[in-house]
Amino acid sequence: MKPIHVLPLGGADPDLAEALAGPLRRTFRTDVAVREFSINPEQFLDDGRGQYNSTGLLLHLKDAYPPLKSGPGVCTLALVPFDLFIPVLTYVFGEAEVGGNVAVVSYHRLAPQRYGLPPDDALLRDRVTKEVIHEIGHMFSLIHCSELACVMHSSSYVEDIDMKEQSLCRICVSELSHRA
Amino acid sequence: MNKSEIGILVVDDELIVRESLGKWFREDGFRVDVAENAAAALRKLQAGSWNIMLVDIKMPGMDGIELLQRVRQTNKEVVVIVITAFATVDTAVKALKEGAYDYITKPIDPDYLDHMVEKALQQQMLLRENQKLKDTVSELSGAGEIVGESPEIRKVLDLIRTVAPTDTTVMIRGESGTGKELVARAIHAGSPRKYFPIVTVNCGAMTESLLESELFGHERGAFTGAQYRRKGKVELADGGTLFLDEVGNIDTKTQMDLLRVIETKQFTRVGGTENVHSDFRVVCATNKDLECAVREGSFREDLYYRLNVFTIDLPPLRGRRGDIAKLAHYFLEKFARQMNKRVEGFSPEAMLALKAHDWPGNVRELENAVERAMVVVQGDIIERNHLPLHAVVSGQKDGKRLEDIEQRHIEQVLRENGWNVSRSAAILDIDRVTLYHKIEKFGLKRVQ
Repeated sequence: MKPIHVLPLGGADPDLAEALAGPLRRTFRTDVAVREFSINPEQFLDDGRGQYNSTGLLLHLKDAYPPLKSGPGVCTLALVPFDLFIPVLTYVFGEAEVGGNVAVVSYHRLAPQRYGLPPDDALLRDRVTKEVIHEIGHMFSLIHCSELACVMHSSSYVEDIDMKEQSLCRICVSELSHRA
Repeated sequence: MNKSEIGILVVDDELIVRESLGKWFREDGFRVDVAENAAAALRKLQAGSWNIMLVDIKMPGMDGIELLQRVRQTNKEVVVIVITAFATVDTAVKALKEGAYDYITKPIDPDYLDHMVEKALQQQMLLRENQKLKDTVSELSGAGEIVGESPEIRKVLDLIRTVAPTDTTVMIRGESGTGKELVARAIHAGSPRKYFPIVTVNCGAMTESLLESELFGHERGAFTGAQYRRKGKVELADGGTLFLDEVGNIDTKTQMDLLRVIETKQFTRVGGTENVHSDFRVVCATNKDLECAVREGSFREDLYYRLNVFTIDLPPLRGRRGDIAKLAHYFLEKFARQMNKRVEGFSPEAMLALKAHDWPGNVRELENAVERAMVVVQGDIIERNHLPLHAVVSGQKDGKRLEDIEQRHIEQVLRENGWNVSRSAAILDIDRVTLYHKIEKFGLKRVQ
């Protein structure tokens, strides 16, 4: 299994990134490192939408992040605080290359206060962890799972994320070990 | 169905849309391909099997609407969802009229996209199931059960094939037991109305008021015991076929009501005031001499002409003896399946007796004779003594006595009416007590 690098970018909370290391190690049984790296996110901002183009960001990372430039030996996940989109969709929580080496997750839409609720750090951390595992699962070639509780189940709303667990279902675990 | 077996084709001239939608559906596990224009889409549609097409309306060259029209000319199954910008909702509506399943506006809400695809697949599955069921019903209700190869029955089959696809009123004439209802069902099954019901009304089995309520239904409180509104057979036949069996037995008042409803396709339920519309085709059957009834004044002339548009005369079984062996074997196989018995066929003597019999009860009598023989047979061959043909073998005196004919007739009416004594007594025009006496006198027993 390839090692995983987590990059908090664009002012993302480093503690939130650090908290991911444990669950990622348990799920993917590989080395996980939180690395410092910096980009200028404004180049991906679409002024008309007020959102950031996630595909553009992924392409940029592939060119700019040295471990990715040197070869396909590492899975890199960028954690960002700003809202992401891909042109045909209104928003995305994250994006990944299926079977590739780069992914991004935004926690802009995961915070309870966005929905008029009081801040809840534990809930935010839980949602971020699930979405990060989900996108990294795609990098390890997993596709969406029909099992509601599986972390690879597709989620378009935070309520969907809350229904999932942080773990892979038995079928996805078997898929993952098969692909590893 | 496994998601990897479901094919989605994304047609859009913008690379970013093709790539992002393609990726979205691949993450879901679908089989996805993309086309950059309508021509490429048509090529891919022809080359592969696709469940859903997502088509952008605005494309250079052939646009999404024209592509949709072309797709619909050759492929009715693929579900087309059009993608449009907010400013072109009018065009999307046009696309719906051309047969698109739905439209989505860019940028697409990811949740909406997932739901739409799920709904579209469910709809496709239902349509496929529906078609499969229609095909099954069509097979089951076809003219397959009319058995025989004699010139007489071939002529009947030709007439059925000719008249079935039209909306013409058909009158089927023939002796009791010749298979008039079977012919009515074959006409219905061969008509464009076959996906709607064929509703049978046994006009001979009901009293005047009962028939009226049976035909036209009744409102709540229309008469004692009418606790609920009930739809009549005419209303139930909406879209399908109304089969009026024993039409010659209808009383004069109901004849007038029936004539009106056949002409106007409108009626009122018993006890009601509301005009109800029903679109039905009439097929009727009789074993009576209706011309004679018209002359005698017991059957309305105008109704006679309204019903007697296309006539099919069913020959009696004694008039097509060549079909007896084939019919006997057909019934033998039918009851062997039903009773789970292994019976190979008839002995030469049994077959000779079957062919020599006069069959006053026609095919129904033959069917009942084979059924009875199948009940009593122990081995794998039906012998002469298993057949209940003691009454009327041609040239013999036995069975021609008036009492024998009465016994046979009563037995037949009881059998036709599921041994419902009240209904049978009404048809025989005797009271129930008399019928019970006759059952006892002739030692008639219901064969289960």
